Amino acid sequence: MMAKIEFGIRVQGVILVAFIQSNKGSPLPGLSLSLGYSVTYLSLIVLIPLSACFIKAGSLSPTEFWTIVWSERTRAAYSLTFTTAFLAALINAAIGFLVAWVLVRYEFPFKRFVDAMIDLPLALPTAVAGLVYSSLYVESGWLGQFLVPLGINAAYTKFAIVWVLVFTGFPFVVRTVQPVLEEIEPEVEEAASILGASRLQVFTRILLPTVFPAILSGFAQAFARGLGEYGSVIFVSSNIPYKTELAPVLIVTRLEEMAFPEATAIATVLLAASFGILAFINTIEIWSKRFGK
Amino acid sequence: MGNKTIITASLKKKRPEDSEWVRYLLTTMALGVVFLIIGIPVFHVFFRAFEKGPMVYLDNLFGNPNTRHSIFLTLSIAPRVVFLSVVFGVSAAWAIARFRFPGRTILLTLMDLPLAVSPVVAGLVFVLIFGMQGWMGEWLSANNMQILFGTPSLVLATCFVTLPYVVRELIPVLETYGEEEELAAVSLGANGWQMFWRITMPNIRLALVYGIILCNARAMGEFGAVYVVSGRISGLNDTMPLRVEKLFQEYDMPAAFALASVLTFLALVTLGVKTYLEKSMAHQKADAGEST
Amino acid sequence: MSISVKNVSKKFGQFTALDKVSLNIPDGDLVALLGPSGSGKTTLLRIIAGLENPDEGSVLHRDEEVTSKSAKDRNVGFVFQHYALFRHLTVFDNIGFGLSVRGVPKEKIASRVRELLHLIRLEGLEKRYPSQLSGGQRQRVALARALAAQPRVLLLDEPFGALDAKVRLELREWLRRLHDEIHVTSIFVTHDQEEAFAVADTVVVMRNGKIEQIGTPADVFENPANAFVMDFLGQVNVFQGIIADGLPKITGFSSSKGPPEKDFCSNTIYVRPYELEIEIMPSASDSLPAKVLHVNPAGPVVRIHLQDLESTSRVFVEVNFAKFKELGISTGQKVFIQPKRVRIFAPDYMI
Repeated sequence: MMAKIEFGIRVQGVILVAFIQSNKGSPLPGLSLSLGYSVTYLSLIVLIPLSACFIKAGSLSPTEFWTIVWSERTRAAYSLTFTTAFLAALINAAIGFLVAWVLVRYEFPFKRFVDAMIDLPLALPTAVAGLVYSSLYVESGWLGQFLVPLGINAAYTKFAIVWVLVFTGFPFVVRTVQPVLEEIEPEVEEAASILGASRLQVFTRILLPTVFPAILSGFAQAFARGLGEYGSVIFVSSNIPYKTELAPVLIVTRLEEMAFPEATAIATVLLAASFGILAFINTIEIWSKRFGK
Repeated sequence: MGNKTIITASLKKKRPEDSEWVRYLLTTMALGVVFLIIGIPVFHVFFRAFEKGPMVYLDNLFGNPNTRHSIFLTLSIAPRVVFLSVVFGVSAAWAIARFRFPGRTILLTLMDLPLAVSPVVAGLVFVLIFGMQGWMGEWLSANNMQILFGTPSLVLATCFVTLPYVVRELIPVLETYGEEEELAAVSLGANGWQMFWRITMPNIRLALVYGIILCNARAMGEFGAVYVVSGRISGLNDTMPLRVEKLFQEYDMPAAFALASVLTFLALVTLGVKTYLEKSMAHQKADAGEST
Repeated sequence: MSISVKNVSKKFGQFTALDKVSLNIPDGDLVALLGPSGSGKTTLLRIIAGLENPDEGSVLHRDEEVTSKSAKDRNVGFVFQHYALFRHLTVFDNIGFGLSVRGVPKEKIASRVRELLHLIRLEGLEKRYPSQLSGGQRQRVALARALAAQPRVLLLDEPFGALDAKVRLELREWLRRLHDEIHVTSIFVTHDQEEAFAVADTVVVMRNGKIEQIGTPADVFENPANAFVMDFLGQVNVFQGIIADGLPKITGFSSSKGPPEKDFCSNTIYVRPYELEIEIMPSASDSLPAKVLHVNPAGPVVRIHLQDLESTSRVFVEVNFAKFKELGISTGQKVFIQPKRVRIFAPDYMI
């Protein structure tokens, strides 16, 4: 095992030397120190640990791996994780766009304050979010007392999971769409209306397509966040296997059972999904650069 | 002169207006959403925390040794994590913003990984390395060293999830300010550290504080990753968010909300400082734009 | 189509952008709105387009009152200074946008767009996005887009302002030729008098929200209505003078640097640099003595800076190269100047 790490470090060293030699051009100092330190730190904190996960998963035989990730319980957990995260991201795409639109285009009192509060879900520990949301929707809670008589039982259900994921992912779409909306020159809208487009046509044919990549990117970020979310959902979900047990919750359960191979296999699938989303976000960025200045 | 600025401002800022009822409807809907998603929860935390009066609140916070310890633990972990992230952030931003080298874009992408990875997975990978069945488990226990289920693993896991926060704020600022000033300093005979402390640092100061604020908020609030590596040993490895969960499990809601209110207060302070910094940075950018 | 603007006023807060402006533009004319920034020329253009509503007054397209019509229903073509192309649409879709929102069938749009691509000489680039075009190409696309739905009038807001000097020259000649081909009534805003003269049939000079003068380029240049127009349309020298027996007479250099903004005092005399004669010996008793300060002999026209012997006031003279050779003057030499043509401006008084 130690040999593996040593090998990793040696390979890194070779890459580093290659990096440094190729950049003799710049007259500014500090490349070898800064690059050397940051690559080492990144490797120790992120890359080697993550590769540990893949190596561990790789030590399972394909059949073993398959049995774990395709068992009924894991399948139920994945499907719940993906649907709730997807739904929450979809809701966030809609309300995030609405909020970004209003913040950019309209004036109202306390606008700066509201704008600042958008980021609360990023600053507030997820455990607090979980605690609050769980207590709001129970029958005696502030919102539960109105919703439960209506037949909407939001506590400890899938609804609760989606709702708390909407909270944790809320800033992403707002913050990706806002700058793009701001950047649209008023002249572009004027040009469209002079060419005969109605307000609705200006919106659907000019504004929406322009911000669409940003909405998509924000959606993907919220989705990725939702897939991995743990702190808030364990409060609001009853965590019942097959029903309200999410993939991250299942990983922790397996870990607590000391079932490392199972935990690792489930995590690997989740990791692969994260990488896929990250690649997707990068593709959107490259794609939307085509329309750049 | 004054007139001219007024007219260009009024011509530039104006967008084709939507009809009044559309404006009111959409604004009401957006504010309703923000109030429902963010406003109510914040009120709720403080309401539930102070429900029984300030004395009960203080007792809930400081009366329980485990809760006291969790506050102490969070306050001791966060600065270490922030320090490590800052050193990494500054050096990585310097390398990426000032130099072109093969693998630069890969490095940029890899730095964003922790944002996409589930915190639970972030914790898991350290269990796989330092746990008894892990790569280094046997060696560590043979040498009588404890990393997992102890403060070192809490710091490591938190470092994992906060890694991108500082560096992501610094790169764009370094790119905006360009390297002319630094090249001038070097040409005037400054050595690397002199150039860094006297030229680079003052330029990135605000962005650095901004990154620290975000990094600190995440470090204090992290749950999933530290949950996994803490081993759930009561009182010993519970940070404030973990303690909130434990109180919740014990149905001690007033105490859970008391501790949550402290975290919420910290989050609100973070947002306040963040907004203030954003304003200052916009000014700084405008000034820089004017001088060039 | 003819355009009329009647008594139009517009204020932005405290700032008066237009002050009771009236203007008639005959069908098929190519008009330049010329003036310094803040003169109200862009506001006037935007009011004609319907992008801005006048506080008072009316706008007529032909004889139809359109003041309350929105921009969308006026059927005007508008070209913006910074193109305002739709970034997410191809050149083809940009040009076809106006037809497409009107529900014109696809084949008709395609043939019209091809026609326009030919007109702007960008055939083969229809699949490109605006970000893949040069500035000059973008502005031509913007022009084609404005023309696609056969607007009754074409409005251009500083159309060449964002372009390089060379492209600018090419494009303005091209605009002139294009107008000769399609004859659509066109109005363009510019602050560059040379551009206005090179392209327009009619020049409208504006200042402080008012029209100072309307006329053909030659007319406006030769017979400026007032000191402002004179100064705005080219360099000018200012002298002190008197009116003796109904004729202006220069008595000396002026201490002021240029023509006063509002003051039409009759003892100020204006002379263009090429309307001053340099003499080695005074030809008349009123020739003014001066010292040669600086000579710039590059190009067909030689620019000479002269200074009053007593004061620090300066005069700027342009002579052609042959004349300069003949005079054989050099820096520091004492010479005399004699105006060939002078102008004085007073309310309703001009020579």
